[in-house]
Amino acid sequence: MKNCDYQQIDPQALPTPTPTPPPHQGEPRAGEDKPKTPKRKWEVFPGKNRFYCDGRIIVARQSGVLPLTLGLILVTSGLFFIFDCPFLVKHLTSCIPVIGGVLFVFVVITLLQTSFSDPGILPRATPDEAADIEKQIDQTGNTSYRPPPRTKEVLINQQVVKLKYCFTCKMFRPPRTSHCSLCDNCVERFDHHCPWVGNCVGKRNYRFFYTFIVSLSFLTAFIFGCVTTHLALRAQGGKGLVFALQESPGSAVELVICFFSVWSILGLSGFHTYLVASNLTTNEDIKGSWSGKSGGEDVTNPYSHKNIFINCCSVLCGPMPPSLIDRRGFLPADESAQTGAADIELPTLAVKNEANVFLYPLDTLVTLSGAVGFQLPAIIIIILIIITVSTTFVPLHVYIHVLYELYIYFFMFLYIMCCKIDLAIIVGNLININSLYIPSCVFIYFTVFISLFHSQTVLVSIRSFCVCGCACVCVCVCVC
Amino acid sequence: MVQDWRKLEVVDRCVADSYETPTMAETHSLQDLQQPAVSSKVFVQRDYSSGTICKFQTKFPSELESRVDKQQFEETIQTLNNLYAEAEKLGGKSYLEGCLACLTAYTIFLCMETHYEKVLKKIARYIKDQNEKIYAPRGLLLTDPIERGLRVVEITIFEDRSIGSGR
Repeated sequence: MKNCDYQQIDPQALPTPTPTPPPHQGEPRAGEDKPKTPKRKWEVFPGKNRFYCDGRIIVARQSGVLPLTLGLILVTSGLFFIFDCPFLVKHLTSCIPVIGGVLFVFVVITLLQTSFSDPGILPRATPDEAADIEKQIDQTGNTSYRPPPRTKEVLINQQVVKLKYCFTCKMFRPPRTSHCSLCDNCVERFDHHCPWVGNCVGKRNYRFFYTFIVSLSFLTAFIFGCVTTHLALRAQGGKGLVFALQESPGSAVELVICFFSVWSILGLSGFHTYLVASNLTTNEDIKGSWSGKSGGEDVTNPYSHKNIFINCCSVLCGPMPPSLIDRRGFLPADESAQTGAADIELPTLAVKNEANVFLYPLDTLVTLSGAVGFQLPAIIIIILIIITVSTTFVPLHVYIHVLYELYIYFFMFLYIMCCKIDLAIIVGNLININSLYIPSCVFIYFTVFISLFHSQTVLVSIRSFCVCGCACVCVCVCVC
Repeated sequence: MVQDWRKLEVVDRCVADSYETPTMAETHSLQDLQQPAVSSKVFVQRDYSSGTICKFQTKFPSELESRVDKQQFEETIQTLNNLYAEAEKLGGKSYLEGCLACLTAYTIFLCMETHYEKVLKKIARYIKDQNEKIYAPRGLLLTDPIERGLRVVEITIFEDRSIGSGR
């Protein structure tokens, strides 16, 4: 008779720290019995993320350069549709705006999905879990000092992998998981924190990110080709390029933007295609975890399926993992009181984040120009752009030199920005870096040096010399 | 939600005799009920020997030796592992879903429930079923791993001091 007491208990309602509503739907009827509206879990989220639309949209704390990315894409595509499409539809075919439109829609949708979705954040360990893990590790029971980094070794496909203990999230990180210091979260299959997208790239949004950069490279190349064709058609009949540019000034802006970005984006797409085909993450590639540099001789990637096609399919077309943080779920009333006691600053953080929403543009500016050695290239770029714009009456071969200069500055700017934002990884492994930026920079230096000696104008020679000098300074700043 | 609270009241009235707490007619906080009932928690960690797929260790925890049959427990964990493997399986169906999603710029994820989510619902039903049939009568409760970020299977052991017979 007494046994039936337990059977009367509805397992869902038993006093565990889990909220009673089912995990994926925040049931509003939880609020009916309580005197005040219950909080949603995103309001007490411990990481440095911001939430909009009642928890549906998640972004990193610093939006990075996302407004710039979005602005460049919108401006370039807008100018393309306004200036180039009417002419090309009349003289060539009406497929051009259609293809451009489809690519543009793809780019914007995947960019927004990459920026606003959960990259695969692991929720922090509950106090009970943390205590259990501590008990297993700490035999002495001495917690007066921070013990040395704890690691656990596991055997994955006959490969020894070390799992590190995360002191912030109080758990052993699963393999391929890394803690992002900018977002203050452990992210599964952590690739990198992308400032252009303003979010981490991890297990859940890697496919969005990859589709974004691939479609962006197609879009950029497509616009570049169309603009070149447009200007060539206009300049026919001996009218000249300058006349064509004066008739369609928007095309000049598009040409500049596309020429800059197409190489870096194509390079990035190529790099990520290589990563997808070998089932690696940027983090692992930079650290050289599986290439035998840091490990022993027989170090192979244990996660690779040893088949390029299967690797690609598993990374890009695999099942979509669910979000583990359940942002829109409700906290039961006592849970919010418990978390309030444990981490008192959390509810106020949500309020602080709301207040900071107007300071984000300043935040971005500070990030961009904050580090030492950073202001100098930025100022130089601005000065050069002003000089370039004012030299509209210079002949074509000088235009090419000027474009090369701006390109180098842009590259160095990009490189420094990436370095300064992700200093710990990049600078520490600069010799081992497997990026395409260094070889392409070297290539550009050589071409500029050669053009320096063949140049007709003294002014351009001096400028090219300054470009190389400044580029060398920038590289030294990065390395030191 | 309202009926759940009512069931807790029933339990509290039975428990009140041995713990001498005043029977509270109105709904009371879970914490008051928690202290006398919960004894400890056991965590079954993830097994990473096959990579990053979701799989839990089938090793039987020593704290449960007196409570539940080893065979039963291992079967539960093994079924959970099989269900998660089914969710993460790379096959024709998941590739088709992935390619279709890619072609629509992943907007179908906003309208359609993914295969993984369907299997997660199946897992939730299975755990509820197991709790009702096997674990609750023995004073145990399995927590769905999704509520712990797919890191552990949390098993809560309830004290049965008030019901001391037959253990």
